[in-house]
Amino acid sequence: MASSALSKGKPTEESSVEQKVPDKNRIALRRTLIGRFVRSLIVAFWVMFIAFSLLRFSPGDPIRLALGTEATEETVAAMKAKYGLDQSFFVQFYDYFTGFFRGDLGTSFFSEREVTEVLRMHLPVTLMIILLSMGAAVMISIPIALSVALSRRAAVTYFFRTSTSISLAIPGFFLALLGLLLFGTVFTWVPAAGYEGNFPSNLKYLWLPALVNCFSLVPILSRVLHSSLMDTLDEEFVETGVIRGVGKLKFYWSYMLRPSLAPTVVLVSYMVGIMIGGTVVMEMIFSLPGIGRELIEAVSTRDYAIVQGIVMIFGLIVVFTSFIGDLLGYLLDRRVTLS
Amino acid sequence: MTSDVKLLDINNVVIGIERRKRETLVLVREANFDVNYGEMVGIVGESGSGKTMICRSIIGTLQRRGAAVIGGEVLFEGLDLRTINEAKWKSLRGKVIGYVPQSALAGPNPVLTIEKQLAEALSQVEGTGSMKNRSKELLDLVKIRRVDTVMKQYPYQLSGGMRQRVMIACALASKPKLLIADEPTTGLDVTVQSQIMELLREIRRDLGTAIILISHDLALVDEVCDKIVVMHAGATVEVGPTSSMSKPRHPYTVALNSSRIDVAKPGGELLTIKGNPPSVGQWNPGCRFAERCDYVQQDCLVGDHPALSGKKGEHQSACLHADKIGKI
Repeated sequence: MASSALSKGKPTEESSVEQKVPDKNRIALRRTLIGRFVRSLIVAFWVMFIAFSLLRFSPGDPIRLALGTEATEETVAAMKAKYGLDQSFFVQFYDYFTGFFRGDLGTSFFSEREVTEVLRMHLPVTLMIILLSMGAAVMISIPIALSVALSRRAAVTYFFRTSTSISLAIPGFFLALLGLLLFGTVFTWVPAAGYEGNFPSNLKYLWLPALVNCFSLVPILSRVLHSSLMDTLDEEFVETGVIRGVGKLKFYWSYMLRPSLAPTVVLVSYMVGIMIGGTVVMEMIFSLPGIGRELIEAVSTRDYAIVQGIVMIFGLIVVFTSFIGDLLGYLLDRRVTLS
Repeated sequence: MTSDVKLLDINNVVIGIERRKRETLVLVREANFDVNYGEMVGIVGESGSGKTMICRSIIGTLQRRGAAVIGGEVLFEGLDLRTINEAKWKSLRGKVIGYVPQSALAGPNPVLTIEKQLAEALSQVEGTGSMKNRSKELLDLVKIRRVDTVMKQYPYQLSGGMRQRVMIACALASKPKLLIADEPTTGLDVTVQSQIMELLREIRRDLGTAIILISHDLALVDEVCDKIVVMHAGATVEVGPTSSMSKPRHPYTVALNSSRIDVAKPGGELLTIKGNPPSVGQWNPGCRFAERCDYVQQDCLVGDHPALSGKKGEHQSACLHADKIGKI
């Protein structure tokens, strides 16, 4: 039925297009990727700069604080020279900035510990809690949101909304204390304090904080996903999927989840950023040697090097995860624009 | 083809949707029409007249929206679609019955490339040759140029007309006996509209596919269809071959005809149909068009909605005073 007028001259057009076509989408993707990456780098630079300058412009002299009130002017000056604090602001920043690429983030004024060492020791604990919480929350949220969206009964939706609201309203620290009391002292399933070990063995210290985090994460994620799913279900193309008779799993994935996931994925990436600051409460309650506790300690003693190091790493992680989140959202659903 | 078995026979179909507290809202009642093999039938009516609902009852997607056929028969080649199970549905929908959904823009799945969508449609039916070549043939069939480029694209990268072509291509993957096109030209500009119409007409001619074309545009249906079904408030009010529909025998069709923009006199007033279609669940006794009708009589306001006069296949009207139309 294709009219002959149309197919005339087609072979040449086809063969020339054939080579270009697969590249076209990929080139566009590569270009946007590079663009986003460059932008992330610029943001990362500003994160470093702000983390660095915030403390320089805040009142108080960390050297005098570190040396005590009895220190002579000479010792103060010597100390300042040792840490380069007698230099001008921009020289200091330049040293810091170049140091970053040599893997040198400075040294604590008090404990003389290397900042990189502090990060190496404590950051993994915090990241582990976040990964564990987020992973569990995503795995719980998807089936919940999907089954609530698919169930056409008003009672189910009502129960879902109510229970997520209640779960969200309970303060995390309260749940954490309750959990410790229940699982730590009554059942003794979890060590009440302390932390040790590497990946699989440290899970026994981490599962409870992650579970407590889930009580606030799951409601947020499942509700956002649920509302996107409801929007998707109203769309005409879902009908198309039914009519094409695609398999159940494929239908759930290609016709329901994939067109709905982008907002949730982006949200997850931002939540990682929020949690990085938020896990400090969990670290305190469960006495976990995370980076949040180190930060609080360093702020109260005005330990420049440590504070700026940790703040900068937090910032970089946020920049990095939101980059990944945007990218994933785009790969799932090309309608999402990566400008 | 034996003449007594129609391809599709809609007999007094009642479609209801379940609301809270087990109350059922009737959306369609007294719907009657049939489709012969290879025939092109237009269904015309205002929004909410139940056109789309009828389609969904033929394609079996009412349940998804909590609606169901609760009375009458939907016979497809003599098989009552009310009685078949999901497995049987799977062998019908998308295979023997093709469907082009309501809106061109929202029809294709936004997260899959055109190639993948065609492959999905094609994987339901057996065929020879590679999936890629079969997909290309389909796109050729609906006259899409630069097939290789289009195959790699996502729906949002295509224009509305192209998307509609792709949807038609998907629906044609299985060479269906019946193709339902639900307002296939909504949201497309006029030149594209006529191209799509031309395409449908060619498909009918070359593949012998029967087509149900749903539209609110009488002029459009008038041009391409063999038979016209006019629906109002869930009921079929007039059915007839296109040729005899130029002399309508139901006041609603008369009103639809006179509100066509192409028959309005230049500079003259555009005629509209007075009032609004009655809301679902608020149907008065008697004829549901009575309130808006210029010919209304006392007996129009009592009893049931008037049944279609005459025999199926003839020009039928559901007006008690059909003989007076055109004489007032």
